[in-house]
Formats: sequence, structure tokens, C-alpha cells
Amino acid sequence: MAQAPKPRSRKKTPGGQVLVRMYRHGLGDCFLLRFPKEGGNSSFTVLIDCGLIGVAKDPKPTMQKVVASIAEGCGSRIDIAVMTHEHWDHASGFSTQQAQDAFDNIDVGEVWYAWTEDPENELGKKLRKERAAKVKALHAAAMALRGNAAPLAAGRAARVETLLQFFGVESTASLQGLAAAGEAIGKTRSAFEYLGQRRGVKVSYRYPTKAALTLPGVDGVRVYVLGPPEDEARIKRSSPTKKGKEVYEFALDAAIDDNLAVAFERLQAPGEAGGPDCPFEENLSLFPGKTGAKPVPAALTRLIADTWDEPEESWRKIELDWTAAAETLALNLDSHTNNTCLVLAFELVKSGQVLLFAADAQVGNWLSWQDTKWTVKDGNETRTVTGPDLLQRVVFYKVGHHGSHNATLRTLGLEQMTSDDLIAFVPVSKEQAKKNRWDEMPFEPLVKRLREKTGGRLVFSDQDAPKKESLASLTEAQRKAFTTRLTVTPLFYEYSFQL
Amino acid sequence: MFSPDSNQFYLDRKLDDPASATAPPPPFRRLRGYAFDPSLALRLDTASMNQAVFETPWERKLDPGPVGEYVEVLDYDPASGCWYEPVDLNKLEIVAQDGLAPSEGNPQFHQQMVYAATMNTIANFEHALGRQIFWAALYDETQPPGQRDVYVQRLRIYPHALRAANAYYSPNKRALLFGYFPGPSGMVFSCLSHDIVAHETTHALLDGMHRRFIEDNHEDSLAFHEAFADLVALFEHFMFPEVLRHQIAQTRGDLASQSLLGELAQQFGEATGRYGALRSAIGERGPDGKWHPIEPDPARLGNEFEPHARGAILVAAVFGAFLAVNKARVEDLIRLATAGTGVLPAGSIHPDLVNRLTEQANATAKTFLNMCIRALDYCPPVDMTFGDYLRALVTADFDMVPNDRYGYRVALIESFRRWGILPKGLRTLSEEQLRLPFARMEDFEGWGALTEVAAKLRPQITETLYVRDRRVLFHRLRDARGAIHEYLEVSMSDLSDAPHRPEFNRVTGLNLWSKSGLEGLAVKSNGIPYFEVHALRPALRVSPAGTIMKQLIMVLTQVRRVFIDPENRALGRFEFRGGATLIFDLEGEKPSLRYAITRRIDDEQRLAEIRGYRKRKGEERLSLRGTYFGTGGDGTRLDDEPLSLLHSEA
Repeated sequence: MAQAPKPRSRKKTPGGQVLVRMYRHGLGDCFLLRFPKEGGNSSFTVLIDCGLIGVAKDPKPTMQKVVASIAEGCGSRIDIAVMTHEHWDHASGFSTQQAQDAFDNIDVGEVWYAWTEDPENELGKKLRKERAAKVKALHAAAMALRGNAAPLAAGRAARVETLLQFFGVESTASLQGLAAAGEAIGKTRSAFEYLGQRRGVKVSYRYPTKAALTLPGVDGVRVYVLGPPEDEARIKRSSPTKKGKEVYEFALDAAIDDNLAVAFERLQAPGEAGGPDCPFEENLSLFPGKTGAKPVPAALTRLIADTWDEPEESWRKIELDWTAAAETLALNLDSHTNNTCLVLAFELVKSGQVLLFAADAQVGNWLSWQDTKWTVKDGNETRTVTGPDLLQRVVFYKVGHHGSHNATLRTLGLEQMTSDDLIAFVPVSKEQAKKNRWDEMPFEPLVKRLREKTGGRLVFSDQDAPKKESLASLTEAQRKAFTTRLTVTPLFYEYSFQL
Repeated sequence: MFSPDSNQFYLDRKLDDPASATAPPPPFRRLRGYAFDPSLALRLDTASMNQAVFETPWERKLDPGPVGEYVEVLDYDPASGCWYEPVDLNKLEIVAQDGLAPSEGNPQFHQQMVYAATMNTIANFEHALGRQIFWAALYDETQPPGQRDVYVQRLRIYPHALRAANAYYSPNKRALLFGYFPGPSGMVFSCLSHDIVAHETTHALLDGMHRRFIEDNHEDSLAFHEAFADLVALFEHFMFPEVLRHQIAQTRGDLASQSLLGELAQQFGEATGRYGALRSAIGERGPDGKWHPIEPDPARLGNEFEPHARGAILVAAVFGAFLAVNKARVEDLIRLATAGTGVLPAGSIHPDLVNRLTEQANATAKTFLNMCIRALDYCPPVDMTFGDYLRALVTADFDMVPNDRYGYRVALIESFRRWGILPKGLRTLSEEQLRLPFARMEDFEGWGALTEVAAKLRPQITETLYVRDRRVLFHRLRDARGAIHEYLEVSMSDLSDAPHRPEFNRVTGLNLWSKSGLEGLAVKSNGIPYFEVHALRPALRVSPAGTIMKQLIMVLTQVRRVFIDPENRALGRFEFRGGATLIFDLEGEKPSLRYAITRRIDDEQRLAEIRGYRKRKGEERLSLRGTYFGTGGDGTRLDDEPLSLLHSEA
């Protein structure tokens, strides 16, 4: 951990308050946390993610503004930067295309990544390799489908592309745009790695199985790493309805994806036929109608004329049905990546309150918190802290994945958050989500339940602060506390907690 | 197959040419294939029995593909951008040696394998149903009314359609699509798994009979499709003597212990990282990695909603009944073999006993398979539940075998009860209660449109029993459906609000009154609401006791386009259907209506339940796919392949 910095902050944290700031820049996460340091004249700053989804307008000026505000808020010193996962809407601010130059001028003590990024970790290596294979296959798929005239292909390409945005593909309506997507994908990776590779920044990989952490110079705050789980099956689990026994790991995920990638490359550039990816020996493949190909047996010619080429039967062709695999692949890629999210719970020791930052964790990640356990020492007293215990004490919940359905678990998640003081922040932009046709983001039933659980203390980055009417179920004191503790500006919401 | 006589098939009597003077046409085409899948051929203990010979019906006209009367195999591999040469099963060298030898590397063997396994399942259906099967017709709106159902002669089969650990029946294309993917030890081909082929073929056959069963209106809808397909694949395991003998010897006759017989899709399961088969009807591996038999658990029905998992409950219930019956039927053999103690000595059991046990298990399985298939004729036209299926099973079997000497029905009822599968609204679970009640005639002061139309059509229908050509038969039945439609329309039109109307409504579930005021019911220009004679199926059945039953199954349906949530119209509309499956006995002076399995179109409670289900599904069970890709259909959505999603892992 870096040495406690010299007090440079123009703004000190007001007496013993923890400040949690959510930026309101669009569909993407950016949170600045400030903890009062002992002595009370400076604050310890933690930045969790800084990114914006690809469809957003004017991303560069937007993010420049955000980072300028961060610099001001943290006094140009970030003690810890947390990179939850490798998605554009969480990391774009660190890219050269957006605001890396601004970050260059901010002093960063340490960067935290999930253990899945640990170069020494075998499972992490495997997952990263698979992710790379998937991204490659998807890129090939999007290219091939865009280049295909069939309407089915266009629709499919559009859907695949919306998910590629998480990897930084911005405008992909054209083939040229997609050709640049390869670069864009690299772009996300480099934004994500920027801090880790920056000179003078300490890199830490965080494991849920290791001891709880403290923030140097800050008294009374403990940090628990809830996820990602060190369990492949859980990382590959996305849907809440599937039972454990049905969720299995592909031993050969990468091999399957590579096999598919070659097929998509072939679709994009026909003419390349037959190859080691094909299921049979090359000499068994036949190419009817292709000039220069070896002769086709008469029986096949007849069969094709009677069935495949029969105009009355054209509705039964299956030219592109197999490309549905691209969508499955895109979804798997997205959920596997989201399940590798670094999830942190900040415990304010004195009050027992917990601030939960779930990033975009999905089901597998959430479920694993149930099994987490730490032994901590408060003074002379040793106690055991478990995942469910932390959930029970959550008073601040950063809603997972912009409020979508798969990123907040119900029974073993939200319903375990039973504190009367629960408030929740949702970083989302309905407008930008709609552009991608993500009509269920945020997911209405989840919003409804969150509203109930928080008594209306639910703050959306793209909306005005909750009005008095929506806080009607709270007591007068609760309402007052909420409104006075919430700071509202056009650029961010900030809430203060008593340490 | 076991006894040639049992495999009666319509095709083998459908001869365009007179039989040769010297020899009759062969009863079967013998084709080698995998009893399970290639993975078992690589294991020493199972290699010997995994190669089976399918005795498929002899199709005289079988073109390279193979393309026959029922199916056409097109070996196009779009992901590899190539075709493979079609196999000609009539080639002398191939006929003479029971088809090509099993080989994973030979696409022509793959074609032979899918053909053999598909035809095998088709033959089982025709045998059980007592008639020729049809694939789902194509609906062509540009045709005049009455001719919009277009005949689809062949199911199309693409053995190498996908690069994915997936295989599915496409209801839109009337095609089976099989995938392949790199597994831990080479390519895994789903078209080489007998279980998967049988399962997908069954989806297609079921869709051909009950087009509305893929509409997802409640928890049981898609689960039934899956369960039924699994049941057919499971019981087909018992049709291979080598397999059965081998497994009975290995389990010492205890079919309830872990064996290949009760498991589905070994290679597929293993290659996709499961430790064993994709699904098992009798046991499962626990978290400890050990195999445990499944115990009936009524609570599971309330907790499992994913179609395969929920379907597994129905599979377990039917399979449990099969095991119980078979056990009872071999008790005497075991006693004989053990000098009355019933306790088998340690070690292998005597080969003679193995043979007798094998015969019995085969016979019991065959009966169950027939029962399961035959019950399809007794299902409601829409919104079937597991409970409805139990009633259909019991009633269909009662019609066939009035005295339940071996306790098949008792076993079924008991097993379903133990799994908590109960038909709605029944107080007790006795056979009499479960059996569908005889329809009270809609006879009202001498008026009875239904029997009249049945009587009027009897000569025409009876005639179809002799038609061999499926195309001709399809068109004759379509004409008959048109005639029924017209007759009912005319006979209901002049009744305004006559007292017959409620009776007609009660029996058929339809509402043919222009002033019904039902939300979403479209009325034709002639003042009568639209309705459909959805299907017409004459059946000729011969019971084991030798009696011949001539039945006519008439399916009437109607549709209302209603909002999913009247309060929140943004959720859109769906098609709420009603109608009835009417089973007539064609014998006697006048045909009589025996059963009316009705789902009323004006059943507001059923409507409310479906609305609730559809809404809930939209909310609680929205998938990741739904979040990103939406749930509507614009013609290119994956939703267009409802069974594909069920079969892929995401």
C-alpha cells in the first residue's frame, strides 16, 4: 500500500463523514469515495471505475468533465483505483480516446484488480484466454453478418454489436466501422490495463479468500472482497433460473469458440472452404456450383435440384441458422466477464454499516458471497464476518449492471439486505439503453422492489432526486436525514455517511 | 427389433408394383448404427453392444440422401461451406451388408444413422397410433379458405447444420438441425446419438399432431414437449436386444439401478462437461459425484420451471411406473430361478434368465411406449398439463385394454401420485375418476350437430382408412375438415340464441354466436365468429383382445386475440385459444361422441391464469438474452426457434 499522501486536498472531508459520489454522465459506472483520515484534515480517496457506454454522444468531452471533477474532488490524488472488470462502460475514461491525459495528471497510489487478472493465477489465465477467443470469434461473426445481405444476418449483427460495445466498439453500423472494431476491442483492454502499467502505481490482485483489508490512515473502515468467486462453474453462471447441476463448464470453451471463429471468417470471405476446423477430411467436402471445384456426383446434383434449389421449398433452407451461435457466444462472453467483477463491501466498523459495490456481478458471483467468511479483530475482540452478515448490514447498494435483471439476485441478495437505512444508487441512462434496444434496463420489477426496500431512497443517475412524495413511507427523521445527506449537482449525486 | 410381426408398418404394404413372383419384398431394411452414441463404442465394456442393427421399414423408393416417403436428409454444412455426398442405401454393397459400418469420419454413415433412427421412431408412432403420420402442414394465407394447410410430405434433416453443442427441431422449417462441436476427444456429432435423434424426431411428430403444444401458456407446456421426447427416446433403448441383454446381465436384472438404459445422451453430456449423461430418468449424480436413485418428491413440481427440469418430473413418473410394472412381471421368473426364495445368488445371473428378463423388459417397454404415444389422441387441443396427460394415458389405455390385468394403469396412477402430479379439480385419484367421462351427448330436442356431421361424413371418413397414399389422404381429410366447418357454420347460424347453443358451447368449447361479446373474438362477415376444424384423424385400432375400434378424432379450435395485461397494454397481445378434442366411435347405427376433451374459449379463469403466467414470465424469468435482445419477434429473432433455446446452454 502506498504511503499516506501529504495533505494536498483543497477540500477536506467534513468531520468524520464518508462521501460516496456517483457521476451522472450516462450509461456507465464512475464512483468516487472519500474517507476521512485520522487527524481529520485530509481524505483517503477511492475511485471505482470510470467508463461510458459506446452509444453515448460526445464521449470525450463528457468524460473529460468527469475526470476534471474527480481531480478536483480528490485533490489530484487517488489512493486506490478499483478496476472492477474489463468493460468499456467501466473503463473508457482511462482510454487515450477519452480522458487518459487527464488521469496522467492525477497521482494514483494503487490499483486493484480482481484475482482473475493475476498473471500468476492458472484459472485466471484460462479465463482470459477464453475471453480472448470469444471476442475474436464475435468480431469475426459481426464482420461476417454485416457483410451478408440477408435480413436475418443484419438483425443478428445488430444484436451482437450492442454487446460488443462493452468491449469498446462504438459505431458499428458499417463494415468499415466493424473493421475498426478489432482495434476497439484492444482499446478496452488497454484502457483497463492503463493504471496497472503506469509507472509508480502499485498493482494488487484481490481474492475473496484473503484477509479483510484496511485503508491506510483511515480508522474504522474495513474492506471485504466478496467476489469474483474462485470457481469456474460460478463464473460461467448467468441465469437465476438454472439449477446448479445444469450449469456446467465447457472444458473446451476456447476450442469451441476458435472453431466457430474460423467458420465466421469463412462466411465473411467465401471461397475459403475446407480446413482443419471442418468435421471431415477435406476430400469429402463438395462444392456444387463452384467454378473450379472438383466434380460433384450426379446424385448430389439431383438431390440439390429437387430439394434445396426447389423454389417452393426455399423456406426450409438453413443458410444462416448456425450463426445464432454468435448471439449465444456474445451473451456468454458478457456474463462470464461480468461474473469476474471485483465486488467490494466497505464496512464502517463503528456503526456496522456496509457500502456494497457490486459492479456488474451476475448470479454466479452473487451466489458465491453466501460462502465467504473472514475473521477480523476489533480491539481485543475476534469475530467472524460472513457474506450474508455483510448483506444484512448494507446501507448503500450500488445497483449491479445498471439495474438489469441478471445483476441483482433476489432471495440470496436483495432480500437479505434488511437494513432500515438502505439506500441504492443506479448508474444508468434509460435513453442510452433504449438506443441499444435494451428496454429492460433498468428492469422495472427490480426497480419496484428496490423502491420498496429503500422506502423510495433510490437514486438514478439519469433522473432527478427522489421527491418528497416518493419518500412518503419513511419517518420524518429518515426523510430529513436522506435529503440533507444527499448532495445534488448536475454532474453527480453524493451521499454522506457518518463514520 | 424383436419380433418382426409387431413392427407392422404402413409403408411395407404400400407397393406400387405387384410383388415379385419369386420373393416378397423384404420386410425391413437392415441398417447398422449406434444404439447409443460413438462414445460407448470406444469403451471396452460397452463396445460389443453399442453397434445395433436398426430394422427400418423397407422403402421401395428410396433415393440418395436418403430421401424416402417421410424424410429427406440433406447433408449441407453451412459453417464449413460445403456439401457431402448423399448415401444411396439401395446400392447393392450397402444393402448386402446391413448398411455402412459405423464410422465417425464418414458423413455417409451419419446420413444413414439419422435416417435409420428417425424412421425407427416414425415406425413406432405409426404402430401405436394405427395410422400414417403427418408432419405439421404449412399455412399459406394466399390460398382460398379450406386449402390453406399445405401438405408437407417430408421432414427435412440436416445432420451437420450447426456448429454448437445443440440440436433442435425447427417448427418453422419442418426440419431437424443437428450440431457438432469439438469435444475432449475429437468432434462430437449430435446426429450420431440415437437418443438425440429420437428426441428431436419426437418433437417433430408431436408438432405434427398438436401444433399448439409449443405455445408457452403455462409451466407444463414446453416441459411436456421435452418430457415426451425424452420418454420416447428412453423406451426405444429397450427395443435393442443386444443392449438390453447386456445391461440386464450387468445390473443382474435390476433395471432401477444405474444403467445405460435409463440415461440419455452419454457422449453429449460428457463432452459438455457433465460427468455423465445429459439426463437420467432414474438417478442423478449428487454433489458428491456419486449416483443416487431419484426418489419421488411432490415438492419438485412446485420448484422446477425450466422446461427440461420440469419435464424430467414427468419422465420420472412414467418411467417409475414402467419399472414397477416390469418388476412385478418378472417376480415369477426370479422365484423360479431362485427356488422360490426370490433372492438372486451373488455373481452373474444365468444367461437363460437374462434372456427371459430381456424379453419381458422389451415387452413391457413396448407397451409403455405405445401407451404414451396413443395417449396423444386423448389430449386437449391446447394448454395441456401433466395432469391432463395422465388422464389421457389412463383413458386411452382403458379403451384399448378394459381390464388392467397387469396393473399398468394402477402403476401409472400411483407413480404420478407420488410425484404429486394431479389433474385439476379431481378429488380422488381412482381410475374411474381419472378416466375421461363419456361425453353426454349434446342431443337437445333431437338436435345434435356434432353427431350429425359425423354421421354425414362417415362414408367419406371410412373410405380414408383404405387410402395408402399420404398425399391423397391429407387432401381428403382436408376436404372433410372443410365440409365439417361448413356444416357447423350453417347449423349454428340460424340458431341465434337458441337453447342448443349453450350445449354446443359446453361440448365443443367454441362460441359461435356473433353477439357473444367475448374480448378479441373475431367475427366473420357472415356474422359467425371464426373457428377452425384444426384436425381430423380417423384411427383404426386393434386391441390385444382382437376387437377392432374405428374412431374419429375431430379437433375444433377458436382463438381470441387478447391483451396480456389489460392494465398495461404495452405488453402486447397473445392468442388465447379454446376448443375441444372430440372422439367419436364410428361403430353402430350412428356414430357416437365418446369423449369431449374441452378447453372453453370463454373460460375466463383459464385466461386469467395464462395472463398471469405470461406476465410473470416476462418479469421473473427474463433471461440475459431477454435483457439484451428483447423478447418480441421481428422474424429474425431467435424466438422463432422455440425449441432451439431450450436445447442450448445459454
